[in-house]
Amino acid sequence: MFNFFSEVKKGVKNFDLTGKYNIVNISGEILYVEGHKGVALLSKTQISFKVKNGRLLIEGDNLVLVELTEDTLKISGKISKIEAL
Amino acid sequence: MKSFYQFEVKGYNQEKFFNELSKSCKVFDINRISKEHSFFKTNFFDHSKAEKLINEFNLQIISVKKTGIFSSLSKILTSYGLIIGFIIGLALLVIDSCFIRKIEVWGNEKISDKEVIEVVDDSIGNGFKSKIDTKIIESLIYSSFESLSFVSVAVVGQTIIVNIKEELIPEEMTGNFLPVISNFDGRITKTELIQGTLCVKVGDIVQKGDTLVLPYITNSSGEQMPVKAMANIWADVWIIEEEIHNSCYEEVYRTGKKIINNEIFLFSLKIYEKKQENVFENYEIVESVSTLNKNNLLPFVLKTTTIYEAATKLVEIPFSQVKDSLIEKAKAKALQKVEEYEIIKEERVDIREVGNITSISYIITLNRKIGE
Repeated sequence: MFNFFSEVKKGVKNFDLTGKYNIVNISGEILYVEGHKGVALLSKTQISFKVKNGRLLIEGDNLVLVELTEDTLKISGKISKIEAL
Repeated sequence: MKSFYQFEVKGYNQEKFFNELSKSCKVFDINRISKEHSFFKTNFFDHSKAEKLINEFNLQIISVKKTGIFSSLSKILTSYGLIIGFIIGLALLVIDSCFIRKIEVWGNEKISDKEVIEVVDDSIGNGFKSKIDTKIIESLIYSSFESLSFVSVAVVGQTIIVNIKEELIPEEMTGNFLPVISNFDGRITKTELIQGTLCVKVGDIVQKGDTLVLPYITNSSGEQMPVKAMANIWADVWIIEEEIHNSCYEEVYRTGKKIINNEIFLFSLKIYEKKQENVFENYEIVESVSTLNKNNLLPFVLKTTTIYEAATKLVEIPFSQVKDSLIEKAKAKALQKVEEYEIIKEERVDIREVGNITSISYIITLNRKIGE
C-alpha cells in the first residue's frame, strides 16, 4: 500500500526511520502528527506534545485538539508557529 | 450520523488524563477553555472508560451530553412512558388474541354466510376462545339447518372457520324430470331405451324440438312413475345449405359526374358555405367531416357533401355460368357443419327455379346421435 511518509523518506540517505515522528501542516489550519509520545501542554493558544528525543510546541489561536489517539493527533485552529524544542 | 458522548470536566492535570484516555480510546474535539476547564468527546460506546478515568484523575464532571443516533435510541429505550405504553400495548394484544374476531363460512351454496354466522355468534357468547366448544357449535349448526350433510368447526387464530357441505338431493326425489328432445331434423335409424317411455320408432321422421323419450314409466297398475328420461337415439340427419342466384337484375352505377359542396363550421356555427344545386335525377350522397387544423384552440370543421350522379343498367348472368361455383359454395357451407369424425352417408344437390331466381340446396346426410 502507498505510504506518503515512506515515499518522502525514500530518497534521503542515512535516515533512521525507527521511532521518529511525522508532521503535516495543512494550510496552517490543520496539523496532523504521527508518533507523538503524549500531550504536555494544552491551551487555546499553545499545544505542546512529546516526541522522541524532544518536544514540539504549536502556537496559534483557537487551537483545538480535534482527535487524539495513543500515537496520532490532529489539531485545528489558526497555527502560527511550530517549534521543535 | 456518528454518536458521541460529550463531557465537560473541571480539574488539574488534564494533559495526563487525555494521554491516558487516548491509550484506551479515541478522544475528539478537546477544547480547553481554561486551565481547569475543558470539553471533549468520546465514541458513544467508550463513555464508561472515560468516566472511569475521570474518577481516577479526580476530575469533576460538569455536564455530559449524548449526540447521534445511538443517543436517540437510548433515549427511546430509557423513556418510561414509551416502555409502559409498549407493555400496555403488548398486554392488550395478548388479551385481544384470546377473543374471536372473525367467522368464516366455507362450502355453502344455498345457505347464506349471514345465516350461519348468526348461529355461530349466538353460540360463542363473548367470544373468549378457551370457552368455545366446537362440538357444540357443530351440533347447533346441524340442528339449525336441515339440508346439511357435513359440518366442521375449527378455531384458527382469532377466526372460527365453519366448513359445511349441503345435501345433494337426487332428481328422483324431487320428481322434476325433463323429456329427451330432438336437437336435429332427421329420420330415426336406431333406438336404445335406458329409462322412460320411448315416443319414436325406427323410420320415424322427427323435427328439431320433437319429444323422443318421456320422463316416466307406466307400471302394471297403469300408474305413471316419474323417472329420468334416458336413451341413445341415432338418426339420419340432413345438413342443408342454400345459395340463391338471380339471373337478371338492375345494377346501380356512378356515371362519373359529381357536385361537391363545402361548409366550414366553428363551434357548430356555419362560417362559410359553397353550394351548388343538385341537377341529377338519380344520385348518391356521400358526406365527410374533417378538422382543418390540428390545435384545439380554433376547431374549424370542414363538412364536404359529394353528390354522385347514378344510373342503372340491366345485368344478366345465365345460371349455367355460375352453377358450379354456387354448388361449391353451398357444399363448403354445409361441410362446415359436419364434425371431423362423422361419416357422410349421402350428398345431393337440389336445384329449384322460379322466374329469374334459382335456388341451389346442398344436402348432406349423416348418421348422428340425437336427443338431449
